[in-house]
Amino acid sequence: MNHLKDKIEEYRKTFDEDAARVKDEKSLQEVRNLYLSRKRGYLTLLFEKLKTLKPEERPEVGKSLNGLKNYIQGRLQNLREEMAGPEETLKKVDLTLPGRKRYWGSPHPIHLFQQEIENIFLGMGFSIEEGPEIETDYYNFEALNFPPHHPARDDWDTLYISDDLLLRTHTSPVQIRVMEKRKPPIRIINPGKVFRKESPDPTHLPMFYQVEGLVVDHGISFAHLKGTLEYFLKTLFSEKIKIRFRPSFFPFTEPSAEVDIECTVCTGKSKECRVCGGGGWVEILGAGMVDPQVFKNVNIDPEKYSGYAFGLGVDRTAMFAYQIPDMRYFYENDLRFIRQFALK
Amino acid sequence: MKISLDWLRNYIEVNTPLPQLIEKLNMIGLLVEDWEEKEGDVVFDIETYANRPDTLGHLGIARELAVALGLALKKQSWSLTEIEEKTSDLVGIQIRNKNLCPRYCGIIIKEIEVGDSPEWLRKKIEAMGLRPVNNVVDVTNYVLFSTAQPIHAFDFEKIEEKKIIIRRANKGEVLRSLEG
Repeated sequence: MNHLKDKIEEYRKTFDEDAARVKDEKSLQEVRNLYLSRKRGYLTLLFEKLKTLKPEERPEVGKSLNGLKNYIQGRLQNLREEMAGPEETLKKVDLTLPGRKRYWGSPHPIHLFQQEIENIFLGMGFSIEEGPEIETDYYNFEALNFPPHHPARDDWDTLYISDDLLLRTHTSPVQIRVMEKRKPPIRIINPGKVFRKESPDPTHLPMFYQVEGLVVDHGISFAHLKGTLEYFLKTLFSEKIKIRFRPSFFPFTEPSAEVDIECTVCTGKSKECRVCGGGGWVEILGAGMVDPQVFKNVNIDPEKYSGYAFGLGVDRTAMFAYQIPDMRYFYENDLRFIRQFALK
Repeated sequence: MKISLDWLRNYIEVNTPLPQLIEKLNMIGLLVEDWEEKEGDVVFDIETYANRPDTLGHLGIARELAVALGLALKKQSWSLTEIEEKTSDLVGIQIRNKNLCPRYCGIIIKEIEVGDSPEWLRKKIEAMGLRPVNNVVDVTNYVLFSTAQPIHAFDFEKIEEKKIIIRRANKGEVLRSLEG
């Protein structure tokens, strides 16, 4: 082992001497071959001898041998550049080439839009809560008042992992998780990914984003729900946007409503509008007063507390806000599309 | 759920202009997802919810509209001549699982001539997007789309031992459905 170490030191010295004598490309090549030639270079031979050492000795010697190799390669490179002179170096650069434009990365349009939504609710005193994307049947359905075999389950095209595990079909399970842990007053939004068994088309995706909201306290009424959502939609779209609440059904709210806004693409004027189908309205939110059964499931007394909940599809809403005809654009990652949303 | 305006007029005298009618339906929770004009009739495609099986038939929708528009629901009347024999004497009905099927109703109708349905019935069946089959099949569908109550017609001659047994399927039992 010591023999090898000595050799390494010796070559370091002789190399320095040899290097000092280099004066042209030819002598440089000779020195290079002497030490680094792939067959008989001094270092190549030493590397082979490394194999004769005991395994525990190899790392230390190997390290200093590599150090020497890097040292030699570096010196030879420097020598080559010195000999080439400044003119040689300049020749390699075409100064007439136009500069390369660099793009800054930016958050994805959906995330930007989600932040915009979050900021409006944060401004109203909501806080953000998140939950798992893989859920149990209990949190995704049963606790939300969908008993097994309830026909309403058909409206959520669910991707099951096993009998009990599934990819959450909505962000509503987070409501349950929060209410299990915390006592009212509760004022939260739950943004996140959700999953449905759907083939992608202009208005459907198998994975998309939702923002869910939940407010629970003494004396919460439908008027609070209406006021909050009207403020939210007017801030997000415009002060002038027309909004309507329609009766609907969700197992976890009673009464339930769907919230429509006037079609931003045709403003209700086109019978052939692809976005609203000529009806002049597009559905934006599902909402309602928390069903007393849901409160019972999380041990909150429905006689003392009431609450409202709402949910909206981020992608779908972004589609209307930016007037994008096809939701799939968001996930095709065409930079020409995505860069239009970059932060200015 | 497909709903024909013409059919609704069996129950209510609705003359509201179409845009206002659609607006009304939307705002009482019967969302009109689509509609088309068909030979003087208008067929709506109405979204239905899991808690509203009553909206799966024209009568249910008519009831809702009657209230929303302040209209009276027309009285329905039928003229039937009852036969002498009691249905329960002619067919024995056995329910094996009362908890799954609390009630089974049937009636025997005699002197039927199976043939094409009259024009008015064919039109209604077609409005629902189905092809008319014959007067017996069409009538069962007519009742279904009117009242949201599915019914079925059996050929009395072909009921084995004149017995109808309501039971759970046996393990591995193979069933031949109407569609074959």
